[in-house]
Amino acid sequence: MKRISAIIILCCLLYGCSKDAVDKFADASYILLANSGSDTSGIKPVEYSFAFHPGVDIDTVPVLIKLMGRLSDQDRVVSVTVDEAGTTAIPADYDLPSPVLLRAGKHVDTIALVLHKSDRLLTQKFRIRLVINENEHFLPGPVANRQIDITFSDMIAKPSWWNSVVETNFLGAYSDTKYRLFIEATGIADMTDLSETEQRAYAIIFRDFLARGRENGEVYEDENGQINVSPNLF
Amino acid sequence: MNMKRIIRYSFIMGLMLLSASCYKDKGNYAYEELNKVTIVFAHGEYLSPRAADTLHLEPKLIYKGDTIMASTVADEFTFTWYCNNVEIYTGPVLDYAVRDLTGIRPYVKLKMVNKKDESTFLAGFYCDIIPAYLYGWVVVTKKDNRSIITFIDPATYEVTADFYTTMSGEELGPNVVEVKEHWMAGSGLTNPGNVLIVRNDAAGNIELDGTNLNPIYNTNNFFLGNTLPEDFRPRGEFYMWDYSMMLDDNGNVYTRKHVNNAFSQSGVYPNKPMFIPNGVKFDKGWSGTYLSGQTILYDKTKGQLWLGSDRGLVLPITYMPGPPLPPGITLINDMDKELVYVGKLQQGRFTSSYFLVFFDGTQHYVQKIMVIDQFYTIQAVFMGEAPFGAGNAHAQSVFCQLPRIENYMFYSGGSDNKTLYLYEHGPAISAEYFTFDSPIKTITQSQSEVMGVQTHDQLMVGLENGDLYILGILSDHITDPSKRLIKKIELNEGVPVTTMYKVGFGFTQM
Repeated sequence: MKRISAIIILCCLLYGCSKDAVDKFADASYILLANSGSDTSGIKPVEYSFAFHPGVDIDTVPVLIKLMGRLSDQDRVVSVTVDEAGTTAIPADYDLPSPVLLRAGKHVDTIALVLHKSDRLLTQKFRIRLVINENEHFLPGPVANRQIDITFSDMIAKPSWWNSVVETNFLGAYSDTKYRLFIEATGIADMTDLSETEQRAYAIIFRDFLARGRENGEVYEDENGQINVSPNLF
Repeated sequence: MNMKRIIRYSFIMGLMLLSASCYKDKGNYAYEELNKVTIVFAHGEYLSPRAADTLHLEPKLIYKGDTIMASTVADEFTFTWYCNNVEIYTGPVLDYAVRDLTGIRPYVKLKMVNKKDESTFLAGFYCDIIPAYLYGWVVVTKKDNRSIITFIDPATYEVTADFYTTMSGEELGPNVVEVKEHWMAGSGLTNPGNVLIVRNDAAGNIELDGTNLNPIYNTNNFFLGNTLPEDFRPRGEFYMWDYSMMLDDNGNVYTRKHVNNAFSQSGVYPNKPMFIPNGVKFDKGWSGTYLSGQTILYDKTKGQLWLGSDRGLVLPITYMPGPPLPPGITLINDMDKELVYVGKLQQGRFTSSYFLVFFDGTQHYVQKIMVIDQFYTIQAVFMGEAPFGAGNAHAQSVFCQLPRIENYMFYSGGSDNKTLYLYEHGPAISAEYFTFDSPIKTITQSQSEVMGVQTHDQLMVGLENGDLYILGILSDHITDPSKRLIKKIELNEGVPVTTMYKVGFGFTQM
């Protein structure tokens, strides 16, 4: 019995010496989708809204690809395709560069996925799923880094930072229209980590934007009536 | 040991003790009288010397029923002086440089020891040292395309020239336009005001520590996201209780709320200009009195006076409704003349009266108003207007209204702008006060140290040739021209651009 146990343990130990499926120093090169150049954790989905980029009709979402293997002194084609089953966007919504290249000498490169704004995006979110495929240059990397979902829209929603303090002291009641104007006026969409004095300064910029626009004949209204900042903002 | 023995030994011990008490006392009872000494410092328990001073103190002593000077008993006593318990001097008269005293609030103590009987007497006082730069004249000159800031001691007239470059190792640049003092409303009146240097260039304004004049802030760092507005160069910065205002040379205003008004700099300015209706731009601004919460702004294009309020608003000033204004006066909401000077009146903590000086190209006029901030509307009480300076004031004239005594306003004029005139608002008369050998560039008055004491006792006149004149402006100076010149300082640091008298503590503004 003791002998059998020893053999089983030995087998287990030997199993631990089995060859790693992704060996970046072997002849094969692997390509994977990455969150950043130094991050090899599972890829995170990307969410984009044209609402946070006022005045922009076409925008580029950078998708990082990363090499596990040897660098090359030549550009190499990476097989990246749109997974039809996981994609709800129509081809007119985006441009995927073709071919996708990992340029010579680089171990990290960018796929410039171009998104197109349209009225459809005002009411619905759409998704593009990009998948890495095997080709003559690369094998796909770890499963968690082989596909990425890019969800995009022109929709806006009340952010968590627009809380009761911001509402009372600075910006007044939330509306999607007001939020869009705020982004247009200030160039920022997120006040999460800002101090109160910074929030106030942005609210002042927004207040003056509304006043300046009205002087030029603009009409700013939402479901609450005239769009204004909080009356407590001084 | 049995009980009998214990009783016996106890009895013997008791007997010995009793016999010891019969021992004859041979002590010396020929006492000499001990004379107590009370040390009296004329200034009491607190002394406020200037850092540059030398202490020269001889205490009085109450000794043997007399009050005498310490030096008269130098043979009888030893005198040792201590600062925070460290010996610093020996002798009856302390002669010691203030700057050599150690500690934040030095306690100076005198120990007197009677040489004969070694009886010891102590007394001391605290030194609240007035920093070297707490108050004095501050002069900015321009020479060889450099702005040079100089401090001048008001008592000794000792000149500390170009101190900013010396202290910071940096240049102020060529574009300093104003130097001013500002206090932190919430930090208490015993805190010294800091010095603000307004620079009309993209490098921004500099704030200096009011005690040691070291640079502490660049106000460019107080814009939202550390991002400056487009094409930004300050022309003025104005501090009130709860708000600051920045004016740039495009005529734009930026306002910020102080996060904590005990700090000299707090809160961020928006990095986009404040909206002012109808495209109004401001050419110049003037701070109201300390704690008035007012900033006066001037729209030269439309000829309007505006108020930057201590609620972050910028609103036009209109006359308060009432009986009709006298015909022919300069309307502050529709000026037909250029506003060239605003002199605030400091008649209490919150006062808001101003003299406005207008110039129509040939004649100057001075109008007195009081500005009343009613939150969403700003109104002015008209108090009178009179022409002045006919034949002597001109386009090069500079002005200096005494803030506390409203009757007096000094201005330059005459041939080549070399003459200083005194204008009295009451009788509406001008008189020559002093004539110099070079054109006048700046006029500044020293303010009262404490209300009622040293009120407006001096005027500094900066000349184009770089000389500075300190003139007396008290009643005897005014009545006797021969007494007016107090000091001529040949600064030789270029042409004066802006000058001020640094008054130090906030309570001097009350």
